[in-house]
Amino acid sequence: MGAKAKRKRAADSMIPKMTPKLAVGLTIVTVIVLFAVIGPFLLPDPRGISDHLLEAPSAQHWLGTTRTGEDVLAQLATACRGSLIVGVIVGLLAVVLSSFFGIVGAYIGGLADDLFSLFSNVMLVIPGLPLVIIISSYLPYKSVWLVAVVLAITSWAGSARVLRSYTLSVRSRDYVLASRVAGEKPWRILAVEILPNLLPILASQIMQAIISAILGEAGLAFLGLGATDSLTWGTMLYYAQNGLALKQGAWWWFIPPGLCLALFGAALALINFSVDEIINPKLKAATKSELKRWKLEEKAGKAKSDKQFGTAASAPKLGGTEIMTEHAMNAAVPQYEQNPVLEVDDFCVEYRAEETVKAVNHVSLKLGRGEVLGLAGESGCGKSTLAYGINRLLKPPAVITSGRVVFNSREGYPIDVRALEGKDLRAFRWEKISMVFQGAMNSLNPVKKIKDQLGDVFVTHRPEMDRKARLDKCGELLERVGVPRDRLNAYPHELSGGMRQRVMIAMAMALDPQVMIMDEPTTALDVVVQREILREITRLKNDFGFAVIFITHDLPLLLEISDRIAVMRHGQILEMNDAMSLYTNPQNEYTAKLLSSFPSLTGDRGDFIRQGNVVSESTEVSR
Amino acid sequence: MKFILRKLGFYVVALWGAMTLNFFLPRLMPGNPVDQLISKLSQHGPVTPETRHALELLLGADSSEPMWKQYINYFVSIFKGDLGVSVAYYPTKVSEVIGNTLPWTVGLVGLATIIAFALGIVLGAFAGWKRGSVIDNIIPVLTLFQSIPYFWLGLILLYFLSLKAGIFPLFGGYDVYTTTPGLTWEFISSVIYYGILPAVTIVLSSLGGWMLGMRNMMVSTLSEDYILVAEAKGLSPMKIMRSYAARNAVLPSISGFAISLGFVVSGSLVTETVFSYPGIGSALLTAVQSNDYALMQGIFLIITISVLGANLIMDLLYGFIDPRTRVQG
Amino acid sequence: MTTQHGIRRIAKIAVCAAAAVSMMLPLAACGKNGGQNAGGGDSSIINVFNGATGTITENFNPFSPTALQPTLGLIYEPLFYYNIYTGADPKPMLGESWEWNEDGSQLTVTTREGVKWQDGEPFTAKDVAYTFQLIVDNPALNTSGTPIKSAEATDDTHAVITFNAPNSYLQESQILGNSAIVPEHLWSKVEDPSAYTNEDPIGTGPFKLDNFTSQAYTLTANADYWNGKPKIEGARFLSLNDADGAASALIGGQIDWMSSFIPGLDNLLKDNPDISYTNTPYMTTAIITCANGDAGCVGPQTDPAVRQAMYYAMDRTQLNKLAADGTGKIGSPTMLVPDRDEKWIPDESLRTTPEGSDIDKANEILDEAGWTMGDDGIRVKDGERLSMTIQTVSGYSDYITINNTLQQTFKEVGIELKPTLLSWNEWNNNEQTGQFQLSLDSLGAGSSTDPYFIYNKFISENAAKVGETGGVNLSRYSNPVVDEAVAAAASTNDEAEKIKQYGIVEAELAKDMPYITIYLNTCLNEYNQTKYTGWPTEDDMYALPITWRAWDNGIILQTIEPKQ
Repeated sequence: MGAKAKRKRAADSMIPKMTPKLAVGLTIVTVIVLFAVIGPFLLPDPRGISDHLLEAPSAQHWLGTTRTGEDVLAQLATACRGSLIVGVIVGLLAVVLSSFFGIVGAYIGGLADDLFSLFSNVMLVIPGLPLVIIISSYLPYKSVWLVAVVLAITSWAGSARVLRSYTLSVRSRDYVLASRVAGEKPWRILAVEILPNLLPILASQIMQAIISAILGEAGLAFLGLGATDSLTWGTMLYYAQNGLALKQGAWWWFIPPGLCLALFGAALALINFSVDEIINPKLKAATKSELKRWKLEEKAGKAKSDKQFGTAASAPKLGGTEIMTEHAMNAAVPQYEQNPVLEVDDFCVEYRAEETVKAVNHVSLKLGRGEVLGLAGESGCGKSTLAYGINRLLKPPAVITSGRVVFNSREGYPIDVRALEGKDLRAFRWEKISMVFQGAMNSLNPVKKIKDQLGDVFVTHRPEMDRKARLDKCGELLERVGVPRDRLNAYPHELSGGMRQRVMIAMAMALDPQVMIMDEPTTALDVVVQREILREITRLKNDFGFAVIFITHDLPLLLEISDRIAVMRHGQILEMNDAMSLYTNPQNEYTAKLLSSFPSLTGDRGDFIRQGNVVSESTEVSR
Repeated sequence: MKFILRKLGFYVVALWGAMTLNFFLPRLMPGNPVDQLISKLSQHGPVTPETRHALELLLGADSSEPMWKQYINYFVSIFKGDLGVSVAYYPTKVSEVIGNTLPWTVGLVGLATIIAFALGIVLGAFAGWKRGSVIDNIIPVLTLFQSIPYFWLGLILLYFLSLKAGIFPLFGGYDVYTTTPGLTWEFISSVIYYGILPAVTIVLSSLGGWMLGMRNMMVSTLSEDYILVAEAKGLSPMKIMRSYAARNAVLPSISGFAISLGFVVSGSLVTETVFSYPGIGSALLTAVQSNDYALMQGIFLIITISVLGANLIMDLLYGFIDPRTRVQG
Repeated sequence: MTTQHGIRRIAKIAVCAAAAVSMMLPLAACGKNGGQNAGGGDSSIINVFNGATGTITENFNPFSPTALQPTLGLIYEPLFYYNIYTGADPKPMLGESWEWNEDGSQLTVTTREGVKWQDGEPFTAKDVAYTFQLIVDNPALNTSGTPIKSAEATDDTHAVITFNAPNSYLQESQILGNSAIVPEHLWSKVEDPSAYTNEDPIGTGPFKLDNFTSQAYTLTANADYWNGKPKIEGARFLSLNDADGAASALIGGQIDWMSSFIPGLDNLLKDNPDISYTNTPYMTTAIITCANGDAGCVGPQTDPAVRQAMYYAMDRTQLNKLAADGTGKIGSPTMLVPDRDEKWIPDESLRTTPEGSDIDKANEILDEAGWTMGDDGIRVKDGERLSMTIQTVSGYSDYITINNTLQQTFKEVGIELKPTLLSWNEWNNNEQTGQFQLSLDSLGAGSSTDPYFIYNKFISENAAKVGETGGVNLSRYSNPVVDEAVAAAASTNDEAEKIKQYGIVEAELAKDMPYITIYLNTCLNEYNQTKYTGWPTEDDMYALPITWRAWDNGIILQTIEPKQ
């Protein structure tokens, strides 16, 4: 995929989706802008004094009159224009200034960036209004334009800071780097590669600048330091206030300008909600009705599956109806299926995006006690979704549409995982099935010490333990995975990647679980560390006897450590077999292709792996 | 340590920038204090050239000194704590005028900011945690409040709650009729009572911003891996929300304190006018109108230092609640 | 020099036309406290708002231009009280009588006996002499620029003040009516009287300082006051931020006396029988024109015909209604106050301005002067459009209304008026340096009602060139006839002669109109009539009931009585 296609996709995602909030916001803004543009032509002279002093709204004066007999509606229209002019000038100026100091600085980097960002930060901490008050008192004659310029000069710094940080992140994206390496001119990169990505941010910043400018102008005007001979919402309020409009009961003079201001600001804020969702897609939320519908669907799916398989209570402890997907080959190896700790039947997960994606499609499998089950497949094949689904960790828009998950605890009772809710579900998690996630970097809470993150497992699941016992236990866990006990007091960022993953493994073992799901636990680590971790896992598994579902796209690795391997594609298990058989005799075309796509397993890489230091018992498997 | 030094370094530069700005701005303003005072005096009778001479003696308005010399003297005197003598309140010292007004503003803005911040963070955390909940849905309403000019809201509250309903006082920082300032419960309760309405105005107007920021960060944080881990660990939702999600989501709000604080301080200057609150805002306006260089300089400086100080505190606090900054500096 | 609007608080309504320097203020009163029952219903202490805004700083030094207003009148007293509103004869305070020597270079004052300072020490003529000698010795204290040479006491009841020059009759009101007398036994110990804030003031006045905070301060009645202990127990002076706040406090019963222009006052007070008000217009609002082309003024307003046309074209009834709620009063083209100064205006036709608009007359004047109607409805003469800017201060909402109204009226006679709003500083600076065409302003009162204090604004001696400052003649008007007449009036103590000379000045001014009178600006004084009696009335204005006026406030507060 070229940079162009990426850009195109980026552009598509920049058009906000129409939501009620956006619709309301756009409507209000449109109405006010139209009023400001057209109103003054249709309405009488806003300065036209008359003998109708301070009259309440009537057919002749829809919003009444001021103390000197001017028509409030006419004033309001002209004031809209004035305020909008202030807002737009400030918005544009502030964005130009902040772009210069933020984007350009961040793009150039080095000393310029340091100076620009220091300058912005200094401007940022100097309080704006006092500065504006002093500057504007310097101006002998204040037109709206001048006031706007003063406001812009004192208000760009915040935006600059935001733009800078976004530019820094865009700058290091691969296609920008590619362009730089390709020797494109800096301004071109800036204009073509970087700016488009910053558009939503810029839009958001402009809107914020506009509203704070209009508010700022109103504040200045109220203090008598604004452009008192121009009509803006602020000066209208100023004159209304000077005429004691509110006390005289002349609400029609005092309320409309303030209300317009508030409405306009709120409308921009509503639009900004949508822009924010483009900037930060995480903010997009499913609607309430969707959530409700999905919940019902899940319930219906479960009911159906319950009917099909019987409830957990009646779930067979041994064996069970085996429904493999149609492609599933070659049945299981009975050894592992006779006393499965985990049974998954007919499991389906769909992602309800614009189009529904079947991420997991009628998957069934059994996990034997102490077994290492490898789950292999390319990215997006649904292997992680399956794993999270088993532990009920999926969030909307993922919906489990059917299937049964039974956990046969070693104490001898079955648990229908899908029937668990609330407290029971929480008690089940980690106690029975623990997980080690991909990317150890992000699996640890950056602001809590290791001991607290290990400890809160015990606080939750073993409330009877006292502090000291907890600390001992945590230390013991760390040592078990080869991390010195004194690391308990460290913060995650003080540990190396490998150490962090070890900590995660220690954590996963804390409650002596029967199943451990490992989702690409070693992907982000370098090969040497990877080997150490794998060796550790194998050792621990042997010592403690938990079953492992090991998810990775790295088939050779699986071959090394797994008892059995399932190969997934498009949400389905294509083939499941013991590792040796799968390697030597792949039944499915895709499996074969997958195997052949890796360098020779006995070749250089393989040699390295093995010589890398570790001689594990699993080497046997791949030999 | 390096982190703290770096921070301190930044604030020193910021302070220098503010002070330099502060030095040049008033000097660019038209008019001079002597003319101003002569005008004031003219209502007492004819003003003669002798009068002008007397005032020039009085105010030491000797502009023949070169700018660089004034600049140096300015820094020297500031570091001596001498902010000069106010023209508008002659012969009261600037530091005394500020001393009289600053505590009120700091108290009002400080309290209102803390309340708004705390409330915004808590509500924002809940809103982000439970998307689509009632709290989440009041955010748009609160942003409406945020777009309302402080003074407009204040005037309306004042009109209905004080003048019409008589629930709150009409003006001032405490009951000047029956209480005397001092560390008595009578005085303190009066200050609190008089501060409610201005504080409510500030809180209402600034709450939305904090809340929206926190809510959005909360939503972003919720998709982090460590939240998933916490969930997989079977931690209770409250615990996840507090010590995993909110704890991390609050960080940007704290580092972004500067932007908001400047805004709140500005708003409070206007709010003080509306409520005839005895803070530094009205002193600033008086200074501007009297061409009171010294007072203006002093007030602007003090406001800036206060904001810088508040931010410095927040920055240092940030170092404590985000362990990463401590090391990386 | 014109009286300025001092610091009319931004965003506020004019406090009594001009003047009111926000920081200086006077007067007192009692009050009921809104929400809480507090010091409330008790009417012994009157609550006064005298324009103080924001924080109040302690300064009771009567020589300081920034002294708190009650310093003058309540704590310290002058020798005589001059009623600027009625122009009545000076009322003896610490002085009993005065006498000029032959050539008008020495003034001998006979002081009151039996007066005591608030610390119990006796007051004598020595204190008077000391006070004036103090001004001589400390030029920084002489903020009114009084040309005194020396002062000495000949005995305990006689003080002699010697001036720099003969014929110093015009200094009389400043010396007698506008100088606070301070006690020698205390002030002789003050090191630098100009920087002294006098936090423990001891005067001879009817009130003394009780307590002070930066938001309010209270004075209590002086039991040993020479004129008898005041009927009220004391006065509390409050700080409010603007006219709106003041109006609220007044309606809410927390202020008993104030002087602020409150738009729609009748409407606000219709359900409030406690509050009454008087209207005491005494300052002339006028358009100041930069009149003298020779001095560097530029624009059509240098043509007297244009000034005349504006004078006739404006609709003063409408202006009054729109800008002053109809509470302004008719003024005089002579810049004097019609009723009060009747004797000073020999030509009856010059006593008052027209009321309505006389478009025909204005057109006629312009036609005659050669201003012909242009295509765009604006007159032209020799290629110059009849277009002028008029400056006022942003924030003076009544003035802004006047400008906008005039703009529409003048269009009818082919005059284009362009209002500009400036900061007070810039506006004032322009007036001082002559960098304006038209400027809206008010003329205040001098230390007495002698027209000299108005007419010295029109003599050449006081005119600076455009671009220079220094004179009180803002319009740069120059007329030898006026110069001569004013000088003649100033050097005589003979009233008939003065009237004759001022008559000459008036005729010239009415012809040339360097200032174009609009009206006597409104000056509303609101007070609580339920709690206190004895307020000045339209018939008996024994003192100006303006809270921020020095001296007057002392008279008011020692006169009013609490109602039982």
